[in-house]
Amino acid sequence: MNVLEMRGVTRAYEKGVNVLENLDLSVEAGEVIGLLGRNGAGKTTLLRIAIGMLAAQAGSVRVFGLDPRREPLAVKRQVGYVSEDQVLPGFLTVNGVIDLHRRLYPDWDQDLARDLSSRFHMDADQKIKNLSKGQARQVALLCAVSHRPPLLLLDEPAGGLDPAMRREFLETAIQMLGESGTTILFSSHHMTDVERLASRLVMIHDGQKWIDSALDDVREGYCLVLAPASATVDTAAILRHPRCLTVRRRDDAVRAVFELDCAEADRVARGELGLAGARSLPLNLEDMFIELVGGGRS
Amino acid sequence: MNRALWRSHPSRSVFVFKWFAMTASTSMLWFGAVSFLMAAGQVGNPHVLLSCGWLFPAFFVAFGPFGDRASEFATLLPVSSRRLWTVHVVTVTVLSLLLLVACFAPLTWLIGMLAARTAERPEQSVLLAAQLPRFWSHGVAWLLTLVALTATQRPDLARVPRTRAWYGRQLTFVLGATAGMFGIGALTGVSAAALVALASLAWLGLSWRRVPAALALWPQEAVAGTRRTAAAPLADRLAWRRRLPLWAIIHLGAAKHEAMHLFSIPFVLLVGMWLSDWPAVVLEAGLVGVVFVPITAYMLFTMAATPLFRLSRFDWLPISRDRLLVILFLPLIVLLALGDLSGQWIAERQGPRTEALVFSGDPDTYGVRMPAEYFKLAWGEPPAVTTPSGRRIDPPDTWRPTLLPQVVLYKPYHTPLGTSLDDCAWQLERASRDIYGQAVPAAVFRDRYLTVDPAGVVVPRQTDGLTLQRDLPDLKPRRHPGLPAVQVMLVAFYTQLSYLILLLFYRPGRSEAARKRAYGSLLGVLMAIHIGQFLTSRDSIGSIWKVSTHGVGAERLAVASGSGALAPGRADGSRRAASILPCGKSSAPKSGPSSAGGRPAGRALG
Repeated sequence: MNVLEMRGVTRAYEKGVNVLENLDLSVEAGEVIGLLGRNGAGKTTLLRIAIGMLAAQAGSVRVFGLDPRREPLAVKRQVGYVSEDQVLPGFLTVNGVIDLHRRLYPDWDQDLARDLSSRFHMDADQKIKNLSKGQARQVALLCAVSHRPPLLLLDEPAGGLDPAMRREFLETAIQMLGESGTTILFSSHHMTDVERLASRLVMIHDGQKWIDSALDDVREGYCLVLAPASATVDTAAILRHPRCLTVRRRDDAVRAVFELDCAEADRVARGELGLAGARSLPLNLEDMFIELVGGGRS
Repeated sequence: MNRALWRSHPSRSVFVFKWFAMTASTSMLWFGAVSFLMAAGQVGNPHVLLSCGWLFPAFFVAFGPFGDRASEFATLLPVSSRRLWTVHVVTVTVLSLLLLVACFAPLTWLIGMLAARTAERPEQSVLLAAQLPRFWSHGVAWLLTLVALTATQRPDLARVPRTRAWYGRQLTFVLGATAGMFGIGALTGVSAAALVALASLAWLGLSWRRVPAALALWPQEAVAGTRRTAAAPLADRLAWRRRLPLWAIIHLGAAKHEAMHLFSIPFVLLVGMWLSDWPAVVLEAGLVGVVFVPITAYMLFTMAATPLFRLSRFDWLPISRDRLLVILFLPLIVLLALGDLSGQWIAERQGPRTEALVFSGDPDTYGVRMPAEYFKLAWGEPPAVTTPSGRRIDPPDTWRPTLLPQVVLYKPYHTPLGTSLDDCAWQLERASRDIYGQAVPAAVFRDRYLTVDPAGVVVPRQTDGLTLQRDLPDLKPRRHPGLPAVQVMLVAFYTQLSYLILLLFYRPGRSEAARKRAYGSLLGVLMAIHIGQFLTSRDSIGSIWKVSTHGVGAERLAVASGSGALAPGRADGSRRAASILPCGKSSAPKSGPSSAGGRPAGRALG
C-alpha cells in the first residue's frame, strides 16, 4: 500500500483556473521526494490536500489508505507538517506548544523532542511570539517530527532561513527521518537542497505533473540542445519530436530540452531535425527547471 | 487543551482592542443621543437609546472577526472539527455577550440617571426602568440568534470567505435580528426572549451535527474568478484610481480600510461642525460640546495615529517623512476646517431656535437662567449685587476649579426664591444686556412676562415663559467667539499631545509592540478622561450639565489666562477682563443704584 495516493486530483479556487488538474501521484514508503514548481504552481495546494486542509474537487486522495477529509484524525496522527507560513500560537511558550502536541499524539517520543530541543538550543520558557523566524520554524519542526510520523509533509520548510539555519533544519528533518524510513514529501525552491536530499523529483507546472522521476534519472536523462537560430529553423517541428519537452528562441539561439542523454540528443538534433551546428549540454537541476518553466510545453 | 484552543482562537487577538473602541463609541453615541434628546426636550426616547446600544454588538458579531473559526495551526492538529467548531461557538458567544454587556451597562446606568433626573415626570422613569429586563433579555437572545446564524454558515470551513453574497447575508441577519429585537422584543416579555435564545441554541445544536469531519481552509467549490476572466472589467472599474494624484494614492494607501476611510469623510466633517458654533446655536447644546472634547480628541487621535503604523509601506518611495506627514494629515485638517466653516455658516443662517434667556418658576431651577457661556469668572468670591430696592444678592459658586480655588464661575443674575418682582425684572434687564447686547427694559419684563403667584413668588406670566426672541425678532444672542475656538484648541491640545507622545515611540530602538502599547495607553487615558467626567458626578443626569458648565468655566478661564486678565492683584484686571469676556462689561450694574459691596468681593473678571 502506498503511503500517499492521489488519482486525478483537480483543484481550482477560481472558476476556470485550475491550480491542480487531473494530477496523479503515488508515494511509496521510505521515499524522499522533492516537489518543484514555480510560485503558484500548486505545491502548497497539493500538500494541503494531502493532509486534509483542503478538499479536492475531483479525484481521490488516500493517505495510508485513508481519506484525509473523512478520517482526518487518523491521518493527522500519522503525518507531520511544517510550512513556511505556519503560525504557532504566540502566547504559548515553547514548552507549552510541545506539551500541547505531546497530549495530542499518542506516539509522542519525548526523548526525541528533548534531543531536538537541545540540538536547536531552545529556550523552553520563551514565548513563541518572542522567537525569531528560524527559531519558530525549529519549534514547528520539533512538533512535526517528535511523534515519529511515517509521513512528513514540508512546504517550503526552509524558506526565509539563512543558509546555515537551512542546512541544519533540513539535515534534521530530512536526513535524520529519511534515514529512519520516514516518507518525506517536501517542496522547495532551492535546487541544491533537492539535489542533495531527495531521491525522487516531482515537478509541477500549470497544475500538471511535468516530471516524476528518480533524481539520478533526471540528471542523466535530460539534455539541452543549443542550435543557431537561423530563419530556417522550425521550432514547431522540433517541439513535435516525441522526446522534446520544450523549445524556445533566446539570444540568437534555439534552446530545446530533450528527454534523452546528450549523445542521443546530439544525434537527433543533427540527424532527425537537421539542426546544423547544434550541440548538446548536460543539464543541472536548476538549468532544467528554468528551461522547462520558461519554454513551451510539448 | 480546550483552553489552548480557546486562547489561540483567531478572534481573541483582535477582540480586546475592538471591544474597547466599541464600548467607547457606544458610550459616545449614547451621551450624544441623550444630549440631543434633552436639548430637544425629550428626556428619554427608549428606542433611540436602545438602538444605539444594540447596533454596535450586532454589526460587530456579523461583520467583525468572528468569521474565522480556527487558525491554520488548529486545523493541523489531530483535533476533531466538531471540537474546533464548538470552541469557536463558545468563544464567539462569550465575546459577543461581553461586548453586549459593555455596551448595555452604560445605558442601564444612564437610565438610572435619567430616572433620578426626571422625578418631575415619573412616568418616564417608570417607562425606562420597565424596559430594562426586557431590553437585556431580548438583547442577549437576539445576539445569540445572530451568533447562531453567523456560526452555522458554511460549517465546513475554517474561515468563511467574505464575498459580496456573504456581506448581503450578514446584513440580512443583522436587519432580521434588529427587527426581532425591536419588533418582537417590544411586544413580548422575558419569556419570549428565553424562547428565542432556546431556539438559537437548538439551531446551534442541529448545526453541530452538520459539521463535517474536517474543516477546510477554502470552500470546495471554485468561485467566480477575477484573476483572468474578469480582469478587464475590473481594471475598467478601477480606472478612476489611475487618475488619482500621488498624494491621494498615498493617503488612501495608509488607511486601514480604504472604503472605511472614504466613509469617514462625512464623520470628520461632522466633527468639524460639532466643534464649531453650530451645536450651540442650532441645537442649543453648546454646553454639551465641552463634555465631548476628550472623546472628540480620542476619535481624531485614532484617525490621525493609525496611518503612522503604515508609514513603512512608503519607506521605499523617494518621499521625505515630512512630506508624508503632510500628505497623511493635511486632508484631515482641511476636512475639519471645512466642517467648522460649514457649521458656522449653518449657524449664521438658521439662528438660534430656543430662547437664550429664560425665567423658571420651578422651585428646583428657580430664577433667571441662561447658557453658562454668559456666566462670569471672578477672583476670590463672586461679587455681590445690590438691587435698586436695596436688596443684596450673593450669587452662589457655580464652579470653582480644584487646582485654582481662587477662581470662581458664577451667574451674576442670580435671583433666589423670594426675590421681588422689581428685582427679578432688574436682573433680567441686566442679563438681556449681556446676552443680546441691548437691554430690554425691566418694565417690559415686569409688565409683560412676569407675575406674582398667590404664594407671593415671582413666576412667568405665560406658560411658555419668556419669549423675547419670538416677540422681538431683532434680538439675537451674542455668541462668544472664543468658546468654540477654545473648544477646538482643547481638542487640538489633547490630540497633539497624544500624538507627540506617540511619536516618541518612533525613535530608533523602539519596538512595534512598544508603539502599540503606547497607542493603546494614550487612547485609554483619553477615554478615562471622558468617562471620568461622568463618573465624578454620580448624583444625577443633571451632572452632565454641571460637567459642561465646569467645561465652559475652564474654557473661559483659559481665555482669561491667555489674555493675562487672571493675574491676581492687577489693578486693571477688571477692565482687561471686560474686554475679552462675552458680555464686554463688568458685573457691576451700570444703571443700578449700587454695585458690589458688603462682603469682601473678589475682583470681577466678567
